[in-house]
Amino acid sequence: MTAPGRAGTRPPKPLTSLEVGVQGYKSLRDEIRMQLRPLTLVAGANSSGKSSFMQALLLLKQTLEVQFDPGPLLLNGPNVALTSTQQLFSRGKAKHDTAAHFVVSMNLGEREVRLRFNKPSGKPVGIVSMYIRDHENAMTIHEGEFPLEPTQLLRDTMRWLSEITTIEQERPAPDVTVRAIRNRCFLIAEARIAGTRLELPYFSVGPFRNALLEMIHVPGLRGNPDRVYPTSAVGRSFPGTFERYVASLIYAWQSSRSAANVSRLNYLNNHLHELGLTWKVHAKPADDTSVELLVGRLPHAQQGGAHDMVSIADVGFGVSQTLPVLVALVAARPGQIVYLEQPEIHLHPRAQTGLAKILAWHAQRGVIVVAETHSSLLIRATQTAIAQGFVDNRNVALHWFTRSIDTGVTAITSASPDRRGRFHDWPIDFDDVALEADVAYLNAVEAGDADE
Amino acid sequence: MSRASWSLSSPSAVVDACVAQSAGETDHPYSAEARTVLLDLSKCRIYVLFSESVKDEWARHGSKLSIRWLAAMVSRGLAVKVRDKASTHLRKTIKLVLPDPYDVLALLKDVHLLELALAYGSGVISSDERSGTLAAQVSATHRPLARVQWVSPHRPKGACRAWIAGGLSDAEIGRLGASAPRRPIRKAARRMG
Repeated sequence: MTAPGRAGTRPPKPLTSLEVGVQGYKSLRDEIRMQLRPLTLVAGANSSGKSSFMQALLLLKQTLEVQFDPGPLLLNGPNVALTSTQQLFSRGKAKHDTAAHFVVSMNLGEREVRLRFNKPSGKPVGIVSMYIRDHENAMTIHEGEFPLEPTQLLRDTMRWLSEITTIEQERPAPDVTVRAIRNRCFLIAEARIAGTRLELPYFSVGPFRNALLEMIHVPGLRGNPDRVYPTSAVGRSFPGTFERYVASLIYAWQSSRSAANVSRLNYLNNHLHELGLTWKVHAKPADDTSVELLVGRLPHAQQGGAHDMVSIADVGFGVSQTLPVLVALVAARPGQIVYLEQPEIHLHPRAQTGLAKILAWHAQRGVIVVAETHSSLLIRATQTAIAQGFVDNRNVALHWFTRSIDTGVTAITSASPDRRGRFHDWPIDFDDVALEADVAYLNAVEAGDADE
Repeated sequence: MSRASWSLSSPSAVVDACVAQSAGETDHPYSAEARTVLLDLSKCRIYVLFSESVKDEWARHGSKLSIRWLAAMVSRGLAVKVRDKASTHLRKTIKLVLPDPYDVLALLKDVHLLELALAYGSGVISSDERSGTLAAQVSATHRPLARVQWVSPHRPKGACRAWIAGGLSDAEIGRLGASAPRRPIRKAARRMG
């Protein structure tokens, strides 16, 4: 198996797609698998399980990011706020009908990990097992045990130790014990050599850990616009939810006038302009601890209006609610997952169609954009972008969530569009709802006219 | 019902632009019936054929509602783009059989619907009952026309909806002539786009 970080001499290959599976979490009683492609649209009725699915990944993200060891899962964090394990495990009508396990799997093609958690009576949530596959090598690991033969284990261990220490392979081996121990939500191999603990690179969870740590989460509730925003450090990853980094990121791009940052600012301003929101955004330090966000007062630049800027708190919600979405997209690197909850909220229908093109553009440059949406316009405009050749249909996936009215269990229908953006077999959806609304209105007018 | 793509054996219909026009209006009760039929076609996942001439007619007479319906059908791959199949023989027969030149003009206006129905084994959904009656007259001479179904969204009440709900399997509803042998379908079609 490849060691995590062993390929550290060269940058890791960007993620191009990821299959995620969730089972036993909230309404996801049975295993639901979803392919995350560069542009992944997640749709479905309210409370159908869309958010729950991504929450499973966010639980892992916040578990990895927190400063202390919260155990296998941090239930109450910045991305997902659960207050008891009862809220986590799927349950049926009867009180005792609760899922025994909560399972999350991530499949990168050549590599796969499957984490199985449980909640023993009277004990906190534990990790039951971790299945890991690296190319053709697969094993299931339990905490405290180790799945390899002792002879192979010793040989591998000594080889690795010889690479990082002065121990020579010919010398008699010291007393070494190796076992799987929990490291946050994963299991890792740990060697004890003469009282010293050493992490061994047996289980290649690195790509999964990185994908989770670098995942950008733009929640549906993005807060009210403020006069000033606290400064925050900005880097490759954005722990917690993303909105708190927006002002500082824009300021960082302005301050470091590298070609890449100038380009990012240009993209951001162009996107805002394309959506008809404003023509420019500018970050200004208010003091040492906060940054003020100013935006162009008018949607389009005017001659002599370079300084016609107002606080973001003084313009419509559309700007303040869409800005985190656009900054996240511009900030993301190819292979980075950007999870957007309701990116279209507070946007005029025309802007919603424009947003689809922006999502498609960033997907085409390799960002993995996962958008949970209730906008039929966003979906239709995505289909248009595919048909126009603006985004490759193979880079787009659409997942439709439904929930059984009898059992409350979530099911998923997935569709891949063809080159013309057609999704083919697709459940009754927004199209029908919008059409039926039109029909109902015309029928009502017609009936009223007939009565007179 | 699960159909990944169109095939020649799939049940299909040609929808006259007059249905699209009526669906966007508030002419009681015809408009509501036209809308219901369009919704039924979508819900029952019936393939609808569009040739250039049908598209032109829809562009001239369609409504915002019919455009939205068509977009939904295209999105699901249920709108199938086909070629017009002009039949010189049928057109000649119409001119020979119908004595009134106004009737000839009336039926020639809709002849492209009949030609598509003949070429692809489709049914026709049309509110134009005059054309239906004239086509039935011609079918006595032009025998292949006898098996074509010309179904009105309005009369007999509920017949069109029942036909659609049954996946267009009832071969008698709106049939233009007496029973006639089915003819093999000649040419392939491709999805709209």
